[in-house]
Amino acid sequence: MVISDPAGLLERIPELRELCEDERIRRAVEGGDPFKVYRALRWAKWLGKLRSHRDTINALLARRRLFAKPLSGTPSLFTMNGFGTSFVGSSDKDASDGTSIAVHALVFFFIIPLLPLGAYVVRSNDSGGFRGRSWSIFARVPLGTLTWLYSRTVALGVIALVAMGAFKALHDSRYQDVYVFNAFDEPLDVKLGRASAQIPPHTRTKLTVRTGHQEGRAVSTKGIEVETIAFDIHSNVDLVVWNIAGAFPVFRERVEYRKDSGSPIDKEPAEVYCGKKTFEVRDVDDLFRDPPSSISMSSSQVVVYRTFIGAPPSTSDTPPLTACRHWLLSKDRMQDTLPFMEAEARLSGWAEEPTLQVIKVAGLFQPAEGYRMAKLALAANPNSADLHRAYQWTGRTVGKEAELLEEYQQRAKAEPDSPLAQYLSARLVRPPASGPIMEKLATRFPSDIEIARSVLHSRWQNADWKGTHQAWEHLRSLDAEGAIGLMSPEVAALAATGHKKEAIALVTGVFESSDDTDTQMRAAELYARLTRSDRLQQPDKLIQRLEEKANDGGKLWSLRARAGLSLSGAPSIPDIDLMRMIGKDPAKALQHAAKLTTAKMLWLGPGPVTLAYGESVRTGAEPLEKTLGAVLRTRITETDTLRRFMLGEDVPMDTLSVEPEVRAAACVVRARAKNISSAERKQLLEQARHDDVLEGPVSEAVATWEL
Amino acid sequence: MGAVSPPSTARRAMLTVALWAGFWVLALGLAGGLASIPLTQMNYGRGLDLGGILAGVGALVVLWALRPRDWFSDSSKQRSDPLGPEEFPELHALLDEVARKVGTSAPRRVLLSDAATAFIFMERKWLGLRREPVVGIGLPLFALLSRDELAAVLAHEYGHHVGGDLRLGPWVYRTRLAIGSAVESLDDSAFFLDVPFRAYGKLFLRVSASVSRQQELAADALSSATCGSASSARALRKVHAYGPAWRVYLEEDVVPLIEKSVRMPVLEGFRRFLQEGRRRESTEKALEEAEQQEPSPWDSHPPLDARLQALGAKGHSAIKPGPGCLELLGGERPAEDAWFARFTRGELHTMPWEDIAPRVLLPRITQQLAETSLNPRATPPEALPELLAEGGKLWDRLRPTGLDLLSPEAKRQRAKVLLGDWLATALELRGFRPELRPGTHLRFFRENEEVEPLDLVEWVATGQLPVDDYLAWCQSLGPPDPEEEKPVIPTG
Repeated sequence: MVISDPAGLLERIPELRELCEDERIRRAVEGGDPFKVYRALRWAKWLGKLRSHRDTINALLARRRLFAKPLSGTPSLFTMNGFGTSFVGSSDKDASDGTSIAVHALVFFFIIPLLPLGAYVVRSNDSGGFRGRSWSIFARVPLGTLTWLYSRTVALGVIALVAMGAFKALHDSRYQDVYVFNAFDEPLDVKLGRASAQIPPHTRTKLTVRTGHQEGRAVSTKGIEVETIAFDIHSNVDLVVWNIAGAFPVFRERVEYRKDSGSPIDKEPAEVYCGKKTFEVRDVDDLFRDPPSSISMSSSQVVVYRTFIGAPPSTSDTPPLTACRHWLLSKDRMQDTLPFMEAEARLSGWAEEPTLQVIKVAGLFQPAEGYRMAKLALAANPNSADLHRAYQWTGRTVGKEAELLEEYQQRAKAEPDSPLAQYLSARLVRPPASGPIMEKLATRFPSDIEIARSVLHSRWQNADWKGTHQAWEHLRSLDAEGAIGLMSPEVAALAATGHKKEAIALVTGVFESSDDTDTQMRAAELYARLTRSDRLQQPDKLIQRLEEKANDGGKLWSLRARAGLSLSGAPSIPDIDLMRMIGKDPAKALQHAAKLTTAKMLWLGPGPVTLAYGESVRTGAEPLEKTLGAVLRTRITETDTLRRFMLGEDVPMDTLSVEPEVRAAACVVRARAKNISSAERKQLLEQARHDDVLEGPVSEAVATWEL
Repeated sequence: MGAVSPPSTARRAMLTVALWAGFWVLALGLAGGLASIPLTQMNYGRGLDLGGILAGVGALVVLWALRPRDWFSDSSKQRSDPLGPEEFPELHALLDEVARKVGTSAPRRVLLSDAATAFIFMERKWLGLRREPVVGIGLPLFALLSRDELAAVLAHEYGHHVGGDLRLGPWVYRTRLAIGSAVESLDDSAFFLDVPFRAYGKLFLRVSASVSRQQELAADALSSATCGSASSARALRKVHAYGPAWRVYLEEDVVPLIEKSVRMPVLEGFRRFLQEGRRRESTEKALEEAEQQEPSPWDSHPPLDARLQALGAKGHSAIKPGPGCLELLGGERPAEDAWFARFTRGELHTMPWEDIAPRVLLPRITQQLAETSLNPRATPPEALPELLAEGGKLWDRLRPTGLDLLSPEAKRQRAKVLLGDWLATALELRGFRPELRPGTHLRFFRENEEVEPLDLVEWVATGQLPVDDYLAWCQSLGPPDPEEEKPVIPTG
């Protein structure tokens, strides 16, 4: 058998010649790599080959130096703090030349091997201990069996680690954890991409989602759709959030750590993600866990910042949705509450209270959305008079008056005996025709509460004080609680007809008997207005009681301002400052109005809002006019007509269905128009005094505004 | 005039470049793939993990293994002095003649080689801006081939130049170098990083060898078209038949003697080597190995049969060497002068083959053994059986200093060689005349007696020659001659 032997192995190990009857060994010899020959011999032994040459194989395997290869560079020997590379072990010693075989390995603590890198024929030159040895290195030899198995096991482990790292990296680049927050009071089933989960109320869950453009849907357990969404999910960010309807107060804080300070500092105001349905944050240090109270810094660092993402716990006293609403209102971002207010209304099955709230807010900012929601709500609750009223209001706001008239007239025709159908059709009729129609219906349906309410409104708006009182008494007989909610017209009627004491008794009775804070506040305001000029009475008596009960004794300055009480000692905040100035100096009042949030504007009384609106119209302050107009639209749909009236155009006031205080304010504003006669001006001011029965800011404006 | 098909040249060029590019795609792809893991983790994940760190380290290891090394080294500095036209006008006349026939210009530089082959390559000049062909001719070709046959060989080499093969050479070389460097750096990588490069290296060698074989056939065709198929075929057959022998002769006989500062008649020695009927066993094995090598996919040249078939030549019966064309170099002596001047350094002692054993080999052996227990004057030949019984321990006792990397059997064999040397000195002391013939062990003659000491040792070791018979023969040798100082030629 001719065996090619480029490395001269057969000359060095003649025993190999007869072992070359094994194909693998022969190929290894012909390959010229002694290490391969060694491994081929080892495999032959393990596989039980060449049994007749077992002794020869064992003898050869026992002497690894026979399979030496020349050095291809010097192995590095370097340790730092005990970690590095070094020679360990000693085998196959040759007493004649002092050489042995040592393993070159990655070590820690100088001699404890972590990973074998190779084996060498070496001679130790001195005995400086395991730290200070020097070596003469002669040749490379193959690793021993156990060492080779260990190194291969470690190598396979490393390959597995690298493969896992690669898989994880690929997975991380293609998938992202999305945190989904549910601020609502019931569990939601969410699906985003292919991932889905059920999120308990007031908490979050994590979904692993494929990157790219994904669509999501959140549905209640009853199947009510809360939100559908589509957004791009990126993988190179630390945090991706789907905050359903933007209702959860997730926040981001930047915490500062200074060497000279004792504890971390919240450097900047937190960014709160209320109103944001989806967002990403790139670098997050502490995700939904409190930042550490202290961190270690290098000597060169003076300040270190950490980004903290947090959210209120599910056990928090304030529900997350309420917290978000309050925060958005405080930031004058009421329009951002619409998505979750609508979701709340949907989840309630379009119950009246949440639905009316969201329609009211939508009417301020997105009337078309309000109209849409009102339609949906009516479909769920077709017999709700409140929802019909809201529907009609939003419909008028978006210019659908003709369609509404048609729709409700059709309904009235179809249901001639339905008081609701007749009422809803009649209330769309414009004044002054609307009044008699409603009076007729009241005669026809004397027990219907809605008609009774409408008659009360109509008479009140026409300043028919006696009629107002009668209507109120009739309403009270039908619906005592509803009548309490409409005590303002009755109070005005009593005050206008000289029955102030009865009015005072009424509001005091309501204050004492009601549990509702808003009702008590209204009663306290009216009480203050009624008793302000009576020296024997304490006008802020009821307000004080409220302050003690609900405000720990602190002054309710906004309520005092509405009630026309002294504001001495009140803080200088926009709504207080506006109420101070609205009756005295409209220009300054407008300056304060520009700083008000929409929520604060809603809190202002009808008189101040109308006066401010009128002044903004007169001076051409468009942004303010738009905002105040939206607020005024919650009380009156014909704001265009009102606007034209205020500008002095030839528009009859009796076509507007407005409450007396609004009409009074509109007259004051019109009185300042340059294109009206002095006679009309006088008449307007008279009208204003007459209509402002409780002598609020409008009466003050009549006395002090420049005309 | 011959020609090489341009389309086949273009295909070979594209394939070579593709192989070069393929290596870099593999290498940079592997490094890039490993590097992308930690980068992706840092960019898309929550930071590096241990797998990412290890992958990053792996990428750096691969990139380090790919660093340029000797890619642009000037190998011309390692080349010997050319055979100038002034010194060798006949040779250059032949080169010009063949070049005219082929349709190219003769190379300006001609090198003398120590192998039984010819070659051509492009030498970079002017910082690589200009390349010139350089042809090399092996010394033995001048002895083996006739003028026509040598012309056919030159035409074959010119064929590589004309065919554009030399432009591909650097690509192949660089790729081979890059693969080899990467494999060497990652050799026995604990993490199997060398595996893809070894695999690609095998592919590359297989493909590039296939390309090379096509190039050889194309060059053969040009040689045949230029100088005739008969001359081309004869040249191929002679080179195939005697090239391996020359290599073995050079490695086993010539080089060891040159290392001992001996200059001998090289070509005469080769002729004796070829004619020797009883060569060393190792020499016979080496010849057998060289001559009986099976064709493999990694061969750069096609098998002889294929080449002859392509030339239209039939059969390859034994072919005699010669008559030679040493006159092109001015004769055998000038040819050897030129060869020794270019391939050896230092002073050499010129002597015929007959003087080498008594003047060089025996005095050296005697000197080496004088300080050991195998001093022939202290240890008579009768001690051979006892010494043989020591086996490998004899080698351990007497081996030169250095690492012990021999197996037990190797030690026994080396011990036998030592004993052969010892016996040789013993025989010389007893009046035997040593003789060294190329391809054989030392032999000793006295009157009608011929002894080969190594054979004798082997016979006694194997029992072919019983101990008693050996001892009786020792008795017949007589005592050693009186001690006399023999000059030892200083060796390099």
